[in-house]
Amino acid sequence: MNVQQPQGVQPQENLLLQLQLIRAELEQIEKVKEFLKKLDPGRKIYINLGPVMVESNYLEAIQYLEEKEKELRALLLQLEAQLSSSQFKV
Amino acid sequence: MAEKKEQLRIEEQVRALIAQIESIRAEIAAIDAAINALRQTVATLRTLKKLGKGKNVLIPVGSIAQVEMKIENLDKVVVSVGQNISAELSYDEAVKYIEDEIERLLALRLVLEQTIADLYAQIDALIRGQAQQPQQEENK
Repeated sequence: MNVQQPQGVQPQENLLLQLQLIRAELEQIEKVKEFLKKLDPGRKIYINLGPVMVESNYLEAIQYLEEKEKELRALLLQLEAQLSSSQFKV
Repeated sequence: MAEKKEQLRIEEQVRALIAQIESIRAEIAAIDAAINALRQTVATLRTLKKLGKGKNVLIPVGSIAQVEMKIENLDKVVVSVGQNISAELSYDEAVKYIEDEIERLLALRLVLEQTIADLYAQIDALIRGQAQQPQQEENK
């Protein structure tokens, strides 16, 4: 999912929608992590990099997901702060 | 004057509800497309399993070219599980995973259809409420 970086103050509705999308993506990351944990060890795992899919393993895949999660949580905090400040201005 | 204001308010509410309905219909259309694609995937996997090992298949390379390849075996299937991650599953696990995904989407579709029904009920209530008002004015 491509979430646009916020530039300046965005209309409230836009912010709420972005927040919803980020939360949905974080939920999906959790789901995928749980799915991978249940797989038998040694199963082949691939990471889709766009034009190619690279063979990977459980640890790398989890690390990849956790990095994504970290970025999304940082963005979530940023947008939540923006939303709070826009609510105070109204 | 107040009556006209109320009428405008109701019209605005009805328009907003209609917009919500249209948006949900678009989501349902996207879900239907996803379900069809998944069903096609299951059908393709089942056919490939039936054709068996050693058969040749044409694999698309880009949008206009295809390359002939031999199926070694269909015991393992690589399935996308979300977030750019794919995992190798056994054939049966893969088919089950995809069928579970179809069920999940069908359940979501049902919820959205119910939401549309509820929104139509709200529109109906607003319009009936508005229709009753002029009648009450006449009775006075």
